[in-house]
Formats: sequence, structure tokens, C-alpha cells
Amino acid sequence: MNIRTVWIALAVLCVGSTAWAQAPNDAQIAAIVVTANQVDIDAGRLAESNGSNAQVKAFGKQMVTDHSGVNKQATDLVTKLGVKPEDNATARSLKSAGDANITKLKSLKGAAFDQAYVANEVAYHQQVLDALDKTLIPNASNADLKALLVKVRPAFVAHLEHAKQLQTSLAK
Amino acid sequence: MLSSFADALTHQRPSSPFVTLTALRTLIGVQRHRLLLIVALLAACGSLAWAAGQTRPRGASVAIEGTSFVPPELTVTVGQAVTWTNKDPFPHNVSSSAGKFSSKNLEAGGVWTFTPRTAGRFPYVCTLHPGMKGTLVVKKEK
Repeated sequence: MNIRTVWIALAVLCVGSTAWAQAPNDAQIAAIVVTANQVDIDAGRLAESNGSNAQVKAFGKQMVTDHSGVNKQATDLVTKLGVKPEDNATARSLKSAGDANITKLKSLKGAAFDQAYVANEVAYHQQVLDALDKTLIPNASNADLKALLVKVRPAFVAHLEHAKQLQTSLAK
Repeated sequence: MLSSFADALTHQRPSSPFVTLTALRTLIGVQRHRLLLIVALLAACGSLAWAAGQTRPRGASVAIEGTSFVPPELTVTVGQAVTWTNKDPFPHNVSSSAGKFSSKNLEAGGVWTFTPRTAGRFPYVCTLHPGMKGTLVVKKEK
């Protein structure tokens, strides 16, 4: 084996391991999904209680209902599959961004709260959709888990659309 | 009828395995015309029931799943019941865009039935999820 082969092997290993490190397995995907839903449930609860516009409060309440439903379905499935959600960097980063958003929202009142909450919902749902499309759905290996992710995707598209409509009406 | 069956039985050796079969054959032989009449009646009833099923259509259904209505367009006749079933893990509703019909929010697993009384084309939505649309096409009864 000559030195060139060694360099090529190392390069392939590096690229390969980087790709592997970025691609979550089903247990990690489960943790990401549960965390992503919980983050929006927490923000929704805050909007229900602290929101000033009735539509913002109603939207928050719907986020709690919808994301709780999805979480229950996801949790039931991974329990049935014997998959234990495995904490990972992506889930942790979602959680910490979610916590930071809650802290910021708690410092706001009235229209400022409403606009900040809704702006975050727009950005957040876009982020979740990107994650679903680029990472979670392509990397889910269990067929039922993949099917669940594909099936809930349109709900998040609807949430994003709803949040954008709210954002427009609040800006008037 | 029963007495000839009893006669058939008593004329056989009690321990023979063919007792019942022979008795049955005798019974059928003696009562063949009655048996044929019963079979004919049953066939007639069955055909009537099937025919009735054909002229009065069964209810049609729409599944609510993946945040969409499946099928997105359904055609029924006036007086034909339509049932929507929510198979998603969160609530949806069925609301006619022209205000012709409206379910309350259906929880996961919830079911709602509507029977259209007028013909027409009725677009509807789920008011909770923008972009979620369906159409009910109602034809006149023939």
C-alpha cells in the first residue's frame, strides 16, 4: 500500500465519518421530533396566557393541541418499535433556542409580544420543515417512522401558512 | 315430515355410521318438493335484498388524514349520506365555503355525517389548517 492510497483512504474516512456524524439514526430522530414538538407546545402555552390579540391566543392554543397530538402519536410509535429517543446535539440546540425564545417573550407585553411570538413561529416552522425535508425524512430507516414524518409534514406547512397570515394581519 | 324421518331411523341398525346419512337422504327424497320451495324462497329474498342495496346507495366516506381530505373530490347523489372520519392525531373540521354545512371541530378519531339535500358543487375547508380543501359534488337522484 503506497502513501497515496493511505491519503485517499483517510480522505474517504473523514468525509464518510462527517456524513455519518451528521446523519441521525432513528433514536436520535425520535428525540429531535419530540423536542421540536415540545418547544412549540411551550411557546403556544405562553401565547395562550400572555398573548393580547385573540387570534394569537387561539393560534397558540392550536399549536399546543396539534403538536401534543403529533407528539403522542410519535411517542406511541417509538414505544411500539422499542426505540428509545436518544438525546443529541440537534435536539439540544432546538431546546436551547426554544428556551431563549421563551425568556425573550416573557419580557414582552401586548402587541410587542404578539408580533415577536408570531415572527418566531414563522421562522421556527420553516426551520422544522427544512429539517424534516433535508434530514429527518431522508434518514429515517424504519418505514413506520418515515411514514409518520411524511404524514405530519402537511400540518407544519399549514401552521407556517397560518403564522404568516397572522403576521400580515398583525402588521396592519 | 318428522315421522318419516323417525321411521327412516328405526329401520336402520342403530350402530351403523350410515344411519343418519340414509335417514337424511330419505328425508330429502320424501320432502324434495318442499325443500326446493324453501331454497327458491331464500334465493328470492337474497336477490331482493341485493337489488334493494343497489337502488339505495350506501353512504360515501372521506378520510381526513395527513392534513388533507381523501379523496379531495367526492361525488354523491342527493340524499346520500357522507361520513368524514378524522384519522389525524389532532382536530380538524369540515366547513362549506358557502356556509351550506359545517361540522364542529372533530377530535382525533372523530366522525361526522352529512346528508346533502340539494344538488351542486360544494367546496369546503378545514378552518384550522389553511390550504386544506375538499369538494363535495352532489348530483340529482335519477
